[in-house]
Amino acid sequence: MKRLIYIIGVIGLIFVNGCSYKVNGLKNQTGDEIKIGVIETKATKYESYIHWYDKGLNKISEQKLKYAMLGSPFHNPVYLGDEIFLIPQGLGNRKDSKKIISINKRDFKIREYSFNNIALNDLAVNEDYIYTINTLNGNTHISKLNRESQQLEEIIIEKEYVSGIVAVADKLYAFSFNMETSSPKFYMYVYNKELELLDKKDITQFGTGQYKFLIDENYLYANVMATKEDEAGTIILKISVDTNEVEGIDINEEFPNDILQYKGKLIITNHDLVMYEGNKITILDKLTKEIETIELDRKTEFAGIIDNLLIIGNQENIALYNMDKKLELIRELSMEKDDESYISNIIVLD
Amino acid sequence: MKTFIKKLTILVLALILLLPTINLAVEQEKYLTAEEVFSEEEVEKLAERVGKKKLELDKGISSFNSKQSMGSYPRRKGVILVTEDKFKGIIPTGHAAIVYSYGTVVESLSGGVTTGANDWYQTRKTCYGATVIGTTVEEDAKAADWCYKQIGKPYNWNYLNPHTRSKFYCSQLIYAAFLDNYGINLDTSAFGVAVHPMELIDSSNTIKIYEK
Repeated sequence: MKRLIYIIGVIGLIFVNGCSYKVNGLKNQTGDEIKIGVIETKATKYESYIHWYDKGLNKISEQKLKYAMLGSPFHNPVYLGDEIFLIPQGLGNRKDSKKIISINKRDFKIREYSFNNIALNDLAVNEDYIYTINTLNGNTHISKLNRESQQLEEIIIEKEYVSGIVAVADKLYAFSFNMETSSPKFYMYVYNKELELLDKKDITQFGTGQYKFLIDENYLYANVMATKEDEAGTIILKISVDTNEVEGIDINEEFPNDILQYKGKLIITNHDLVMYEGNKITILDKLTKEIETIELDRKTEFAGIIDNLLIIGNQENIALYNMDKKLELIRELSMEKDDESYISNIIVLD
Repeated sequence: MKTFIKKLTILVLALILLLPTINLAVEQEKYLTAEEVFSEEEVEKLAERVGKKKLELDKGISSFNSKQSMGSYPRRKGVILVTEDKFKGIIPTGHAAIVYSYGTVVESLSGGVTTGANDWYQTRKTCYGATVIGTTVEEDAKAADWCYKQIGKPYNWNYLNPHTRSKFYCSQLIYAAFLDNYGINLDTSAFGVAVHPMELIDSSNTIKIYEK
């Protein structure tokens, strides 16, 4: 009997601590058919839905989840292997969930990973660790959770705010700003996967607000939201993963947002995430450097690519465009959401 | 001996997991709850007044803001953001923050003062923007810097003590920034000395520059 109580107790504690699998509310699960997820979430209630669609935007299923502020327009979901990682921040005036969740794209089961800090802003993942960032005492804390042992460690970047992190080839890139100095300074920190500092670059000349990333074979691309003069950014960063050299590419269009890739061309959406403005996309030929800007008939808040389809979503609708036919509109759909909800991002399963 | 070690393990694990919650609960229990301080009836009246307050043009017309028209979402450093969304826990209706940089706000959450994304346009059902009368754009920015320097201080569960500077609730943080730096009091006569987020908009010392 005592043994039973002990076992139940330990299982109960592990469950309370959040490192557990949870049964989810996915209905009509059809696995491979599902290609696009739309995350509907609330800041006022622990309730979110992921609406799952096939690549033709036909609704397959929906998954109800007990999280508030799941995902963010500022930070895309992170994909690794069969897992999709998201931050459920918690209620909008608390942001105290202190956890990351992963969704398995085969069975859509949820796993939770516990962290110590509130108000987690961004995450990055590699085979061994999950990294998160938040700001306390004016310092940024980068936490590292061992995915196997659940051991948690952290480092602190003093007096700087890190807007985004991304894991690339056993390195972690962190983009920071320090607005407390008389003139703002922006930096790119490069760590190994154990969070030992390898490099630090001053990127003030290019700007700040790196939230969205594209990882190419040899390069990491990052958006720039604002310049040091607090003007709208018009460049994207091209960073060599080998040398960490940073090059700024001016796309001559304000507010680069998502950066995608199709047939040797970078597809960059232009959208101001703060003001919820911007309908454009910029197409940059990586070889010829030729730039083309196209205005779409909807706000380019969220974006993704499946095969030859460009997915563009926002708070009102989601649409598919054929990239081989000059962005011919294939289908559009109104976003499903109730009055209290907003769309935090989209998930693309290619 | 084996049983004792097992029991001890469970006890230690339970303490590790539950202690922060117990501490928080004890801290909260010492004071009047938000529901007791901010009565529903008075909050409703306040919301009505805030809804009727005239929308005006922001004083900060420069760089980014030159493109802004009256009533567009504010992103200028030092602008006050308030939502009347009904959250569970803490202040039952409303939350306040101050714009710190293009994509960042400073706010006091249950875990203390911290930063967050300036994503209120999407994530809040209702949102007001306000700016203080009698300060310059530069002074507003310095008020935001002052709030940033408070990051890490704990949440103030005593809504009736907005005078402390060792801990902050959301609207107290903004109120303190303008009171301590410029002597401008954003509190109104509602709720006694407690400062509800929507008082920051209702105050005769602010103008409403945005509403959603």
